[in-house]
Amino acid sequence: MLEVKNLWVEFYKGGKIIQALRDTSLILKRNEVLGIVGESGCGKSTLALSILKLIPEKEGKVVSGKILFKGEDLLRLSDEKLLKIRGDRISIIFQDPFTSLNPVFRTGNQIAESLNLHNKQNLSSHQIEKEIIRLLELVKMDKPKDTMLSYPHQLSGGMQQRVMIAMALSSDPEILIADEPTTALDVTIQKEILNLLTELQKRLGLSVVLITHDFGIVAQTCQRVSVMYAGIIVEEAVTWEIFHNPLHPYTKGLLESLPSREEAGSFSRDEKRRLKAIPGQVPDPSNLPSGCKFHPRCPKVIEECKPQEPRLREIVQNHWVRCIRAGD
Amino acid sequence: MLEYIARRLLFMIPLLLGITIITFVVIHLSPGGPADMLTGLSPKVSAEAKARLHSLYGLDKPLHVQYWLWLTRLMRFDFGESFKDGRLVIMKILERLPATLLLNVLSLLLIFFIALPIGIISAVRQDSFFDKGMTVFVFLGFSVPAFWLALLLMLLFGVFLGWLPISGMHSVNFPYFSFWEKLWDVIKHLILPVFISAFGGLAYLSRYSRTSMLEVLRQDYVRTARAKGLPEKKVIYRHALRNALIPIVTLLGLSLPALIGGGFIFETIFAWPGMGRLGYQAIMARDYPVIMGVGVIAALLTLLGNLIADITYAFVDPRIRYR
Amino acid sequence: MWKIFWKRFRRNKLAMLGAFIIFSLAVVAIIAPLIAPFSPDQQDILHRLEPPSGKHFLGTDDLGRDLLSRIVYGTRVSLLVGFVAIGIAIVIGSLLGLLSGYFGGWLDTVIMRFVDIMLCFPTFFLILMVIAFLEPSIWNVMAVIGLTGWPSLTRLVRGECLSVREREFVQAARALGLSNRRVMLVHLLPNVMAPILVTATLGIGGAILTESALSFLGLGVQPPTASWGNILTAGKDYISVAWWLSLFPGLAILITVLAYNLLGEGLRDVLDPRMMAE
Ligand SMILES: Nc1ncnc2c1ncn2[C@@H]1O[C@H](COP(=O)(O)OP(=O)(O)OP(=O)(O)O)[C@@H](O)[C@H]1O
Ligand SMILES: [Mg+2]
Repeated sequence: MLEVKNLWVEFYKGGKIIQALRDTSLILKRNEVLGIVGESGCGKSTLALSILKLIPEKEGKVVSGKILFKGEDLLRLSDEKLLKIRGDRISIIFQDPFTSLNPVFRTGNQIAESLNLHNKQNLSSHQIEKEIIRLLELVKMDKPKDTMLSYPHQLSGGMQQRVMIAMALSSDPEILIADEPTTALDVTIQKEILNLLTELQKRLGLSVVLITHDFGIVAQTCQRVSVMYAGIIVEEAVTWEIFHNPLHPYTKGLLESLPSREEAGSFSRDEKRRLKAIPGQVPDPSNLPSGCKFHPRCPKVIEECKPQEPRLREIVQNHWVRCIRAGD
Repeated sequence: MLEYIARRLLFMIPLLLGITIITFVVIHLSPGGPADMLTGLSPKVSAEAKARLHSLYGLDKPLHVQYWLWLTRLMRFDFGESFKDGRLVIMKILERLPATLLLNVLSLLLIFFIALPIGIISAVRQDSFFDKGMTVFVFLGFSVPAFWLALLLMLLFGVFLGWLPISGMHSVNFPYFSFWEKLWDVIKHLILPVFISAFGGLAYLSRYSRTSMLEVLRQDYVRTARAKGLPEKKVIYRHALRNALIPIVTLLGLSLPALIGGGFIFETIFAWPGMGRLGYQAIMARDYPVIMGVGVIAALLTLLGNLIADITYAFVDPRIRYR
Repeated sequence: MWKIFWKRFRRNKLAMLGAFIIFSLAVVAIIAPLIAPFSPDQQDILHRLEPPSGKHFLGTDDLGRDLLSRIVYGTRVSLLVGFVAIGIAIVIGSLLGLLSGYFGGWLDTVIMRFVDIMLCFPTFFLILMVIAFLEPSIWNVMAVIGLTGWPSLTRLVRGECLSVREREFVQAARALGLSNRRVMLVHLLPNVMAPILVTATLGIGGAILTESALSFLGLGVQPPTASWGNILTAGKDYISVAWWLSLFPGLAILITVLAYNLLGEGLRDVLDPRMMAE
């Protein structure tokens, strides 16, 4: 369905080059929820934005690689053709609903704008209104008519995120990219939104790329997981396999610091964050270490880790790892 | 919305009081206080006028009573009579006000409709040739003494080329013109003064709209607009522009004091028959009642500008309108 | 810190140019008698209104005085007015801003309402009004520009203070029981220095413009003392016969103010905290 091949993305800031993605590849299959996990700053959002060519031109660019959607390379598409895919067949929702909706337009208008843009059967304005209400009901808004007429600041974060989802779904997309859709929300709301996404995915037959830094969310929603570290995929397998047989020390670290189910409920969001921390710090992306980028923090580091970045190897069937010690 | 306007109006009352207090203090701080100031410095004032002033200002009463008396007269726009010709100050101001308003409103429009596109375009094409050119223009605009520029333009268009009149609002034979000739005549007289009084604001607002637009272009909702699949033009001129306008509209109202302040010098240079020139002449002639009157009216106009800015602000920003 | 500042400053060519011009002007002001080819007041009725020539580089005025010499001496007036007026404005503005931002409460309300009121007056008219009551002189001009120039700075400093106040080191200093004055002067002030410096630099340019406008209107520096503004006033009457009298003093103002603006904007970029952190 969607295939990212050897993607390199750089940002330029203060005279420095930041390598945000280095040779990242992934495949999203039809009707699948693919999780992308990693600590803050590892390049998850960059990946999401690159897929739709949304990296601000002044700040950075895709250096090389391909993004194949049904065999067509999105990066080589003319602007005109790109606009027929972006927001139409591939939609995206962002991390922070509070800032992602335009504050000066009514939410209904913002949804209507999308509808008009990707309007396949030329709806009348009356039909559009009906359609907006249908979409808002789809994302389980209590009072769709009121919501339609409100401005974003009058809605809560959870409601704003629902509006974002409704907007993203208005074009009846095939792929939905969700970049940490719940991180900015309260714990209870997080659950609701996640359940909503899972339900919609099944009902509408969406293929979803779900970006998160929370393995708990992955366990609930994803069929397959890619673990990212410092701009590269370090491990990839189906969810069950990752949880029961993590092979990369980084993945293990992430999983070990995850509180168990029972514990999780009793911690606030901040505490959970802290628990997760692996010793050491995410490397500075403008000044990466040599070899395996994880080696300065790795408990199993050996001399051979330092000179060269390891290749991605298939240790178990369909379970890929970028670590020379995996399977030892 | 109505409630919002009411609240703004209420908020203006302490400001108004403050303005009057400052004006009052300025009168009283001057050497010798109002008595001397009003009479001693102006030999032309007759003994009868002196007595009238004395009772007018209630100078024998305690300060707060004096202020109160003065304030109640202000509220009736009673600023007393001009020393120069004995006419009511408020009448003198009222007959000058239209010319000043005409000049300022036109300048504001000019600033808005020229500076805004300039600023927006240079933000959208940041670092382009256009952007760099406009930065140079802005720096010059900040640095050129506008009265000097006025002199140079008068020299060029008035003296050397002879295209434009350089003073006043009408030609001498204005009364004999047909309507269209009259209109054209006034327009010709307006060109230089409007351009000069807009000049500083042009630079300032171009700069400001550029900054504002750059800020907005970085926002998440602009990214959302792109992610929807909107073409870049709509992203910029629909989503970004509406938001960038919000601070600009406010600034426009706030730029009124500078515009009116500038009027004192530009109206003088171009012999424009407005309030600024009246004020300047009053200052030169030590015509205190007129000075006070012009000061209070100018401050009032500023407040009015702020109010208009507040209301427009609420119009463009739903976060203010609906809370 | 200083090294980073200097490195970044050196890279900003326009700011360097501004600083260079300002430095040169300061030198000119100090050694004016050495540079000026004539005394600025030396009249020569026989050679009045002479165009620029080998003897009088910029020509002579209506009394036969050498224009170049008068402009050179005018530098003194402009720089003096700029520095003193802004000095006054900075002291008042920062002090009130610090008090307002640090203490908050009713003091903040009173100060900010006062600022609102001051900002309602067209500043230029306020200045004109006050000067009209006093006698026009260079000292009054400086005092009045200074006394009317502080409100916007107060707003700025207050805003900065509010954000700095909540930062850990200030909280810690307060928790340690340091006196309010110490906290304000030692911990708050250095952190709001950057915007003050930028505003001051830009403000000097503004003050020079205001002074020249006042002198142009005859309400500033009084003849025969040469100021760029009053040279222009005299020149205005001869605009059609002696263009140099109107051109050169204005250019002097333009270049000076431009230099301060370049330096100020440059400093703004260089001192941008987001950038300095790198
Ligand atoms: N516009 C930009 N300009 C410069 N650097 C950027 C930009 N966007 C991202 N980066 C850098 O690229 C790296 C990857 O950033 P990215 O936002 O993709 O991380 P992330 O995994 O999404 O993190 P988070 O969990 O915080 O959202 C970071 O080091 C970041 O500093
Ligand atoms: Mg992210």
